[in-house]
Amino acid sequence: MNDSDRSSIATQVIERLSAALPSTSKGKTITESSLLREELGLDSLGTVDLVIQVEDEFGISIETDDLTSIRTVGDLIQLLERLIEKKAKSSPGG
Amino acid sequence: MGLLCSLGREYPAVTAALRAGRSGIRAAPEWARLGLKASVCGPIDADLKRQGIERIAPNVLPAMSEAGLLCTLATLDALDDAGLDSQALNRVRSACIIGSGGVSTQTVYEGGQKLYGGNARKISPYSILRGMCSSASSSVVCGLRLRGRSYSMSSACATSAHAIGHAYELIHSGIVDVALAGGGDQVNEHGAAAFDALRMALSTRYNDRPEAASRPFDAGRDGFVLSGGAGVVVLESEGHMVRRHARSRARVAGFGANSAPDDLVLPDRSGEAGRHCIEQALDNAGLTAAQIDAINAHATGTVVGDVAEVNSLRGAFGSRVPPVASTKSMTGHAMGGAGAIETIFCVAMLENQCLLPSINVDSVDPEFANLPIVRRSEASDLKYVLNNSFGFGGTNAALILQRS
Repeated sequence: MNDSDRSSIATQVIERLSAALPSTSKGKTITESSLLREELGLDSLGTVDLVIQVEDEFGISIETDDLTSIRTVGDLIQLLERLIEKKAKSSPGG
Repeated sequence: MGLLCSLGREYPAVTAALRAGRSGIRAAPEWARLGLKASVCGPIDADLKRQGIERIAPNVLPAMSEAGLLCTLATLDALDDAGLDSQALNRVRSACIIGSGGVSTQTVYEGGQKLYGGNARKISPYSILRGMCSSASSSVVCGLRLRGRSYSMSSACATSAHAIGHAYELIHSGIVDVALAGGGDQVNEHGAAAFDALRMALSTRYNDRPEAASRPFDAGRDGFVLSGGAGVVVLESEGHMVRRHARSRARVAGFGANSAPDDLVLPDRSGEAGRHCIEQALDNAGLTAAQIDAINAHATGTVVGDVAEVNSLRGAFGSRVPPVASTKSMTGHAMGGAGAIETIFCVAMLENQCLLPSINVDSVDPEFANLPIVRRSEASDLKYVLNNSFGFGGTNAALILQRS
């Protein structure tokens, strides 16, 4: 995965996240170090809802155990990068 | 008090509509396209469901069923009306007893579509919260940040009457100082299809004249008309009310509840169970039948149900049945919300010292010929009003409201 791919994933995640934020957090600056719950107001169900959206968008599946490790926007982006790379390696011709 | 019904959301405006005998029933052509025989209902105006939504915790909104949202909005209005807020409730012993007659069929349907369509992983994480039986009370307490005891009661179309009765008992027994009580249900094609399947529940002969479809006591009645809505009342102890220098709109004087297990949906024509329920409420209030000044009947407009209830009234009141009407003739049947909405209508009667009418009684059923059915709103000296709520599955509630 090159830097361009990584940047694209980060952009898409932040776009999804912006739309999913509760109204009280709308307009907040989102960076990779932003804490999903404490800073962006995303509760447990909001996080799962976001995960379902990115699973759909990137065609990957996030395991339940991995969910608990996602605390920041960067955590989610890194997890997606790993899963997308893994998917590319395992697919025929990948 | 707070309510959302097919006639609106503002108590004074809804009261005026009731006094004028206006109907909130509209055509639902989409139901006909789906093959349902009934295609009229009492919908809740979409704009009314948006007003005040910004006051609800935003992270809770996606977890709310439609009924949960209606109940939360009605609760906000009830708190405003009572001059209370979440912080005030959290400082005392409080309860939130708010429920629905049914679960969110929309949620079940959407989850089922994904499950059986091979998309189980895409089922919304909010499905459980929206679909659980206590969605109404959880929506209110999480949406408004309440910390007192909370749970939903569910007893079909008597749900919110039982909730008020239970809250009254909690206050009466000194367990809580203040309680939010009521309930609500949504109206949609899923519920309509389930009722339609009973073949004898919904009105089907007046699809081309929606406003004429809900006609309790009329010889031409052929079933009830579904409507959505929610009603919530704030009940508080005398002491709590005095301490905060509040004024009550009305008092709960008595509550009765029992069961009619003889048939799942068709009440016994004798009306014995309903009679005993009313007598329980009278006994609980320490009143005689002669002291009741008016009745808002459960009367939904089904052929057998109205007969059974009138026989209950004749059993409890003898030859001197007080003036009786069914406000469902105007609002339709709000199911789990009906008991609380109609309790609020009883309060409107007491506050305005007027009887509310039954509309569409064009040709009274000969079985009810000697019954004092109120056909036009009129002034009346009212101290005690009875509100009946009976539900499928043999569940009954009777509340007696007293003028303040």
